[in-house]
Amino acid sequence: MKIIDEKGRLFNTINALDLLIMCIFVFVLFSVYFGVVYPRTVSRIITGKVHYAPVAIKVILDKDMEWIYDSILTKDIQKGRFDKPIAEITGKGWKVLGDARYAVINLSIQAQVEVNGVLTYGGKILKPGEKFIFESDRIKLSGLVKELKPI
Amino acid sequence: MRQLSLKYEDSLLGKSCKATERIDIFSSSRILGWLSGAVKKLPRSERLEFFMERALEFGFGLFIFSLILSPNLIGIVKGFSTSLSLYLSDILLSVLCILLILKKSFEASSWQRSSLDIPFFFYISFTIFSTARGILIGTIDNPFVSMLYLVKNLEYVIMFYLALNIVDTTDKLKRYLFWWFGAAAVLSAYGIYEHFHPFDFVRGFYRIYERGLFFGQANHFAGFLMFMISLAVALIISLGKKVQKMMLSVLITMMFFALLWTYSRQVYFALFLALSLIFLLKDKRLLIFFLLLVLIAPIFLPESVTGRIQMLVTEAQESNIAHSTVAIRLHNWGIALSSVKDYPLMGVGLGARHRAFYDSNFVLVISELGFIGLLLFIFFLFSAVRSLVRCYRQRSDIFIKAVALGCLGGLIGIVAQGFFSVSFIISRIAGPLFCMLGMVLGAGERINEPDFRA
Repeated sequence: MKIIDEKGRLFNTINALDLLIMCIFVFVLFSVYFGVVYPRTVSRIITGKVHYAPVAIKVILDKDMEWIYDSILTKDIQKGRFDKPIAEITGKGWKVLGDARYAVINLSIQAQVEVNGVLTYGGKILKPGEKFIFESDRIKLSGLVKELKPI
Repeated sequence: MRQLSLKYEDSLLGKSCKATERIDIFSSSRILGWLSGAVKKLPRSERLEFFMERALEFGFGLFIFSLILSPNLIGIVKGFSTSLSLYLSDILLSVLCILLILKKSFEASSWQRSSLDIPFFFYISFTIFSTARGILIGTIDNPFVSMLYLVKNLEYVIMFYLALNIVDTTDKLKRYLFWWFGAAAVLSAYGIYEHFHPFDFVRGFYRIYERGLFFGQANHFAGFLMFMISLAVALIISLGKKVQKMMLSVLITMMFFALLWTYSRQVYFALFLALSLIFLLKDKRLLIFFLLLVLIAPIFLPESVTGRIQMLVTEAQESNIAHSTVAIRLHNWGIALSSVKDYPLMGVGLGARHRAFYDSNFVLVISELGFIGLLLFIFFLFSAVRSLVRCYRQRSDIFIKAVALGCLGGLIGIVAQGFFSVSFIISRIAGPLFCMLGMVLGAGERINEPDFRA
């Protein structure tokens, strides 16, 4: 007996296209069930999956952004994929260095741990001096990373 | 006379067809039958059918444009931080599918079959099976993401069938090819403009299509431009009219410079292979001339481009994965292939890792779908190459021959690119490829014609 005959039936029983459509439908239900309704907590470890780590960082607000300082609120959050919070403002203050005064924002973020152990955020490597952009539903600000510490 | 010639061509196609190509999975489908029956009960009028026909034709052109030029709609709403993407083409594809189903049902016409029906059926079925298994055994921890990957794969297959059923004549193929070249011209013009008016100052080389409207898509658009250059080159060496040759020359020049300034080394390599194959099949003297041109290319290519290619040598010697794209690729491939030992036949399932991790379509397929998945993927590639070669060799229409040749070159280029990026998943590369395959086979391989079974 042929696997698929000339009429497109699998083992002379069901049409291949019909079976494929049914499989897709069942798979969608299946993945929604295991993804949303009953998420599985234990998974087999395969290397190379994306991992996140909580990191506390201090950001020096750009000089041309200091006008926004008063609008910055603690608990402001930035959302990432599927609306998951990936960054939260935990505090703010002014720091005097020499004659200049800088606005410093404290944040708690979910940094991505790359395969080589490097921390990244928004596709950029996290390190002092690197540009950092925070964007919530309310405001957008930019500055330079002053220091970072894994929580 | 023309009828006779077409009959002769079709009988040639029929004689060389394999057993898998005689299988018709559409006409005996109960689900399609029910759908068609339900649509037939809807009220219909001539005006509505006329409107639908026009909407389908114009909508498909618009779809081609949006496939290339639409920015990520979710990215616009949420800033560019999101990795979830939705393009205007995704919305248009759904509308066009509904229109096509309505049209086919009203006209009671059969769905166009192709030589890729069976390869698609086995590959997609196996992908579903392997991914469901991955969810059950726990190698996939986010089934929702896997579902989105599967939907993306299905979308390309749907694009193929949409093009296959809409483009059924050489005239339509010409018309829609014009839309493709239009989109490529706009994209190239944008890229050339960006090169001379960059968003940032960058020391060394500035890659176009990495910032602004098209974020991080230099390699993606380079792949598309490579495909379109292959098509344009195949047309220019096949067609006779001077005006056509002149217009195509201008377009190729634009696309070539835009491609150069993406600084995508994998696509430089892919373009070399694609054009070599086209010249080899068309005229061996052209191939020799092309190879000589490539040999002396470092003399006239911009210094930044040759510098970028030379960087490959230093990157290959660098073992620090933070500083070398070669080292990070080799490192990631090693990790991905290490899981093949535990899951050799069916892999870990689609979407077990982020696609960007692999940077190689073949490593992705082996790791996520195992060796069975790889065999089925190669079966699809082989069937596509075979169908295009047959269109090129057995058709007498010069235009179809030229487009089939260009498409074949482009396909080989994308396969070559697939060794260094996930080219069969990236929508700016895979979308045009599957659409163009559908268009060429729709116009060049009329399997539904009675002579095919002769």
